[in-house]
Amino acid sequence: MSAGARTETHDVVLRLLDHQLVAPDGALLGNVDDVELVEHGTRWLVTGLMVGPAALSQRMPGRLGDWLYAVWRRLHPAEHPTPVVVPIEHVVRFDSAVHVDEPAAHALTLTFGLELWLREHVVGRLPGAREAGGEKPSRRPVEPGAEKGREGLPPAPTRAPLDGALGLSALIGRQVRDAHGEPQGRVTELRCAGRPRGERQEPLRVESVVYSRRLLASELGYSADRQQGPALVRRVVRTWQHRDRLVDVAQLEGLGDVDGELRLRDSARPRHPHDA
Amino acid sequence: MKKLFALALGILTAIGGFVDIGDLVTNGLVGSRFGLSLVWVVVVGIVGICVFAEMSGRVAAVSGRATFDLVRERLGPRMGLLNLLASMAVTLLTYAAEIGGVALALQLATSVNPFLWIPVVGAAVWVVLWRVKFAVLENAFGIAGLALVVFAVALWQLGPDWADLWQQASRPFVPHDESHTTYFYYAVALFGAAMTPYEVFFFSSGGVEEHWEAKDLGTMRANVLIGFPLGGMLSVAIAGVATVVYQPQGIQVGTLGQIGLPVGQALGNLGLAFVLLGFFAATFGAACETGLSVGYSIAQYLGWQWGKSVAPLQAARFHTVVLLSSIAAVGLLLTTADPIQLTEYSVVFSAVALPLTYFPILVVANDRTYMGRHVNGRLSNTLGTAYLVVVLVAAVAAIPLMLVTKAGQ
Repeated sequence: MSAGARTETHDVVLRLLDHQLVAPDGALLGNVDDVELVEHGTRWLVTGLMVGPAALSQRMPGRLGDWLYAVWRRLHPAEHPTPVVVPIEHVVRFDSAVHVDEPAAHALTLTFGLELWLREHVVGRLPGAREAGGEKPSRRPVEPGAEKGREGLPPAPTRAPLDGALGLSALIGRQVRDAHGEPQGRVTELRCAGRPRGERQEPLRVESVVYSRRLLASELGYSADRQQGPALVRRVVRTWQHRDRLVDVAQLEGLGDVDGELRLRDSARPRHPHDA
Repeated sequence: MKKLFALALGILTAIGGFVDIGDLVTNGLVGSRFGLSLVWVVVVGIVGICVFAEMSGRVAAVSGRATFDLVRERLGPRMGLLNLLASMAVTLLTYAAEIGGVALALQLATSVNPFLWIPVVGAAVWVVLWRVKFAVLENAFGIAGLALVVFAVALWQLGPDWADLWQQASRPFVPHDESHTTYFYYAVALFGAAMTPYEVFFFSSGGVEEHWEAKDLGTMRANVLIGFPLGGMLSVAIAGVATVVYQPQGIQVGTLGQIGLPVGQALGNLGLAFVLLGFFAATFGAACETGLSVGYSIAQYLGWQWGKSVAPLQAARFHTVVLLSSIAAVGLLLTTADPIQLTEYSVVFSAVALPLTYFPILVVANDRTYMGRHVNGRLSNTLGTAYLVVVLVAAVAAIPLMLVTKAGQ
C-alpha cells in the first residue's frame, strides 16, 4: 500500500473490519467497528471507517446491542449524537493495522468520551498520574476542556455518516437468492479495489461479493489465500466452505435496500473465491 | 557484551517467571499423590507453551498485534466477545489465586492471617502496576523467582532413589490407590498449569510494549525455548520433592506450607528462606502479569490505547480496567474463598479456555500478508497442528473429568 499507483484488491471484512486504527506516532485509536458504504451512480464505494460504541453496538446481538447503543446515546454530550466516521481519504495505508493521518488521529482522540472522562475524573486524580510514568512523554497533551471546545476546532476530519450510507455490517449476513428465488447463502465478504493516491487512499470500489452457506470461520482468511496453512485447518475450512461463491457486484440486485434480500441476475456466473 | 547480558537476563527472567501459584500447587499436590507418574504431562505442557508463546511472540514482533487484537479481527465482535469473557473470567480467577498465593507466602513468613494480607497485597500489586516500569517489573520478579531453584537442591540433598524416580517418570502408570479418572483429571490440571492462557496474553503484549521487531526474533526464541523448559524443570523439582517426602507416607499436600516444608527438612532455615522468597516472587510476579493481562486483553478487544510504555493519562481506560480488576480479585478472595482451591479451579478452567486463543494465533501465524517470510514453517505447523488437537482434547475432557472425579477427590 505504498506510493505505487497500482490498483490493489482488498477483502474488506478480512483486512479492514475490526482492525486497529493507529496514529502516525503509534497511538492506538480504537477499532474499525464498521465500514461506511455509499452508492455512487452504479457503483458502491467504501467511503469511510466507523469508530466507536455507536457503530459497534449495531454488530452486537439483540439486547446487548440495544443496550450498548442506549448507554452511548444517553451519556453522549450532544443532543442528537451520530456515529463517528473517518473518511477513507484520511487513511494513509493498511497492513496489520489501519494507519490514519495526523488530523484524523487528533480528531478521533477527541471523540473518546469515556477515555476523556476517566482521564479527568479517575486516572488523573490518582497520585503520580501527572508525573509521566511511561517511557515516552505524553505525546498529544490534551488541553483542558478540549471536549467542550469541540465547536471551536477547525473542520474535523471525522464526520457523521453520509446520507444514504450503508454500514458494511448491515450487508454481511444478508441472504442471496438466485434468479429463481432459491437461497444460495449469506454475504460474508466484499472484495474491493482501489489505488493509493499519493499519500492518501482513494475510496475503494466494491468489485465483487462473496456469499456462503456457512458464516462460521468466514473471517479466518482461507478464502482469500488458498495456500494459508496449517494443512489440517486449511482442509477442514475448505471442506466447510466449499460452496462459497463469489459474484460480480453488478450481477446482484437489491444491494441498496436496507433490509431486503439480494438476488442474482440471470446472467450471473458465480464461482468459488479461489477461482476468481 | 551488552547484548549477551540482555539475552541472559531474558532467559533468567523466563525461568523464574515460568512458575506461578498454579504450578506450585498442582505440582506439589500431584507429586504427593501420583509421584512422578505425571511428569510426561509437564513435558507435553512445556513443549506446548513453547510452541504457543513462540508463535504469538513472532506474530507480535512482525505485525505489532497482540493476542486479543487478532481474536477480534479473526472471530468478529460476537465470537470475540464470548472469547474475551471466557478468557477474562479464567484470568481474573488466576489473578485472585496469585494474590492469595502472595498472602499465603506472607503468612508463612509472618504468621499473620492471610485475610489481613490480602487487601495489602492487592494494593501493593496495583501500586506496582501503576508506578513501576515494565522492564523492572518483569525482570525483578523473574530473577527473584529463581530462588525456587532451592527445590532442585533440596531434591538432591534428600538423596532419593534416582532409579526409582526415573522409573516412575519414564514408565507412567496409575498408582493402585487412584482411579484412572482422577489420574487424567490431574493430567488436565497440570497441562492447564503449564499452558495458562494469560502467559501468552502477557508475553505477546509485553513484546509490543518493548517494541519488538523482526530482528528481535532470535532473542525472543532464546527466551522461550531455553527459559521456559528450564522453568519447567523447577516444576518437576517441586513435584519430585513432594514425591520423595509425602508419597510414601500417603500424605496429600493441601497447603503452600506443606509444599515448602521438605526443603526446610533438607536444607534448614536458609533453604526455607529461599523457598519463601521464591514463593513470594513467583506469585507476586504472576499477579502482576495476570492483572496486566486483563487490562491488555479488554483494551485490545475494544481498540483502546493500552500499555505501560505510554503515559498513564494517555491510557486512562486501560488503567481503570487494571484498577477495577485488582479490586474484583481482592473482593473474590475476601469472600473467604480458599486460594489453594481457587488455584485448582483456575488451572482446570485454563485448559478449557486455551483453544479460544490458541486457534486464532495459529491461523494468524500462517497469514502471509501479515507475516511475510516469518510465517509458520513446517516444524511450527506440525507442532502447532498436533497441539491444536491436544489442546482441544484437554479442553473437552476437563469439565466432564471434573464432574466425575468431584474435582479430583
